[in-house]
Amino acid sequence: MVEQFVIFSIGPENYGLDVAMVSSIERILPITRMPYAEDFVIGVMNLRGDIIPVIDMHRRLGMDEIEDTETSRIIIIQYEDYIVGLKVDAVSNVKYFDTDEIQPFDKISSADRNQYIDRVIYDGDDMILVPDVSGLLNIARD
Amino acid sequence: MENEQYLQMFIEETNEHLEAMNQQLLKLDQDPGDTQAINEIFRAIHTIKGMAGSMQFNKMQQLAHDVENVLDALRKGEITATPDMLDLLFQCLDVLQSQLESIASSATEGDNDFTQIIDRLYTYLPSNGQNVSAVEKSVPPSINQYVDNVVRVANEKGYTAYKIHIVLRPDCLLKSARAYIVFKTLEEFAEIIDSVPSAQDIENEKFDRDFTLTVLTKEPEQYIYERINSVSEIESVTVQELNESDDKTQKTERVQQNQQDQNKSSSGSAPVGQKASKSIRVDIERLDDFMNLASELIITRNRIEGIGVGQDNPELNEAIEYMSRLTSNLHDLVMKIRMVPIDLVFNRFPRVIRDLSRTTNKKVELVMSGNETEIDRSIVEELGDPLIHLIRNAVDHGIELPEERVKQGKPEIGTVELRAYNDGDNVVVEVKDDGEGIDIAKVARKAIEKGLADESQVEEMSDEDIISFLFQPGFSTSDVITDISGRGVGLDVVKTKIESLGGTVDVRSELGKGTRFIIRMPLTLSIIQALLVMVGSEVYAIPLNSIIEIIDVNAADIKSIRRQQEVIDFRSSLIPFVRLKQVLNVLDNQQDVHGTITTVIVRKGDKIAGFAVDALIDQEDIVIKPLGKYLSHIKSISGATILGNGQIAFILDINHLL
Repeated sequence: MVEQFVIFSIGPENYGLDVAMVSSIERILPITRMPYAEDFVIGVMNLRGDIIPVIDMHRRLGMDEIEDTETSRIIIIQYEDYIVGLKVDAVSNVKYFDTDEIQPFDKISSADRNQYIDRVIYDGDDMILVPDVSGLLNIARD
Repeated sequence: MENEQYLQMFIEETNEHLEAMNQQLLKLDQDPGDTQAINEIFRAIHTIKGMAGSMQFNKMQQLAHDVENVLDALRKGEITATPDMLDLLFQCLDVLQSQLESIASSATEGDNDFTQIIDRLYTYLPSNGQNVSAVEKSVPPSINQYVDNVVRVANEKGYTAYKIHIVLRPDCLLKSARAYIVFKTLEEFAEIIDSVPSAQDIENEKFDRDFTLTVLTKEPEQYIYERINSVSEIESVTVQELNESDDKTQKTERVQQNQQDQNKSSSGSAPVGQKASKSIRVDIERLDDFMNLASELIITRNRIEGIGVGQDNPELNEAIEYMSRLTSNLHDLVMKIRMVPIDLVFNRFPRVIRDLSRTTNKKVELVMSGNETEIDRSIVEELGDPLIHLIRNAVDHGIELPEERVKQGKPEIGTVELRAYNDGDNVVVEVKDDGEGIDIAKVARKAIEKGLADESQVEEMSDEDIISFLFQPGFSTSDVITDISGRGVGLDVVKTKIESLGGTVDVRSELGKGTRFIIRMPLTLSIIQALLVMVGSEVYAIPLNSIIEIIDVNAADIKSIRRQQEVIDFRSSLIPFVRLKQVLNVLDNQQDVHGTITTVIVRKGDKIAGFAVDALIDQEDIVIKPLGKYLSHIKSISGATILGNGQIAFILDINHLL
């Protein structure tokens, strides 16, 4: 069994999302602030006529915010019926991993910002964190 | 592909027949001796049976068959309709309906078991039930007898029986599908009483290239010939008049060879059923696509208009103006095409009332008006559930038991009134009952009990504010929990649903006299006229239908009540003054203005308020884009729109901001 992941970076860390969940990867588009949205939702963007909320992953993971760079991307994901854009620092790769390379993530021993991490992949010397999307999006809020 | 097409046709037509059956059953319920209704039901169920059979939905066919037997017995006066029997027939209708839904969603019949309901149908049949069946049995000898009998009776009534021999072309691919079209074509003007091989075998393609049908019709031989010949891929048709005894039939046989050469050149595209028709069926998804495209066109038009303003080019502006008119007309047209009469939801309520009055032992009459009022298709579909809730409430909580009503000097039979009408750009639907009304004191007590307010607060509240507690989740004043309502879900769901469609719900009630729910819905969903305003550096859209007026307010005229709520004087009453910049948390470095403040006076229901904005931009037709599920918890913003320059502007939900 293999799983395919989109690999991207936020701050110093590498993250991975199941490709099945990723609908597209976009360059940074103008974002309109949305009143009343959670603080990590920086606003909405107009993606070819659809309105997509965008989450700043730095804010969500409690890291310092940075200016957008040439490599910044918005990963559009569909999780259940939720369609959301995640703003990340760079998207590096799409890679296959064997199921046995993917391990559960031990939350207790980890930093606060890792509370949304579900699994971890050891790729040689690199560690790729796989977030729990439901927690990341804070869907349980209502 | 073709099969799918037939399936769609089958679903739509069966739905129509089930609907007809429902209406006639209701008539029969009112007047058990209504022979016309019986005949109509018989016809409907007979057609359903035939169609289910030809689509090989055998369970549905079987059930329809047995319902038909009961109706046949009714028709012949062998049995009479009783309320229990009607209950059962209604149940059969429900089963057929859910069966159809299962077919629509999965194209299969599922594994429901109908034997019980069928057994119950048999109990209504006269003892020799099976023999009175009006249905073609598949045992050959009885067919002949049956056919002979039918032909004799038909001749007496002025019908002529024909034997039609049809040969399909050797290269015909979907033989059973062609045969199905032949059956359908014939059924438009004739009744098929026999088929060799049997209809079942034809459907299963268990025939070579030819089949023979016996039909009854008043149409002449030539007409039958022409109609069948218009079906493509048919090699030859023979029509032969059938008299009582087959042997002595005068042979007026005419074999006419199809003009194959002609057909070949237009391979397969020969017209099927040339009857001129004034309406067509269109898949709702195509209409949605059509509307989306029209909406995109309006966005583009707005953008071009914006560009045109900056250029001093009369010719360009004239063209833009013309395009503007065309796109508006186009949009109106799409909207009109999507409009359907509200009767589409109303028509299921007589049945709901009937069932309710039987389970509650209350006597209820349903009065409906304005069934022809038109509303957007997508709204109609969503309106059904909230209305059913309100109707159930009306019967369960509103209407009293007959003896109680008599005691109070009211007519024994309670009335639930359902009324729809147009009011400007809105459609209003009212659900009114003449029951006991809402007991304000009881609602207030309950609200205090539930910790929604304390006594001093309640004392200051108007009756309407107190009634609005009813829309709180989990709020039910019913003393008895029934299986109809009173489970603490209901009114809040109604309110949420209606508001999600851009509508509002109001309640008026008088204790002892009755209750009236007023639902106000926009005619269409996706395009509205809105005023675009600047708040700080952000653009917001305020729906035009909620704006009363735009005024300039002098900063000095703004007063505050209890240092919290600012108010202004508008038409000599004090209304809340809402600074949108604060409410929407807009970051802005500019100092508060001191001269005059542009204020948009808005109204939703009875509430009026003034919204302070920084500048007015324009009034525009805007296309409402949904925010998606992730942001759906933000109630004060009902959607977004994309402006001509691609920028996003949020649409304010006045209801939640007041």
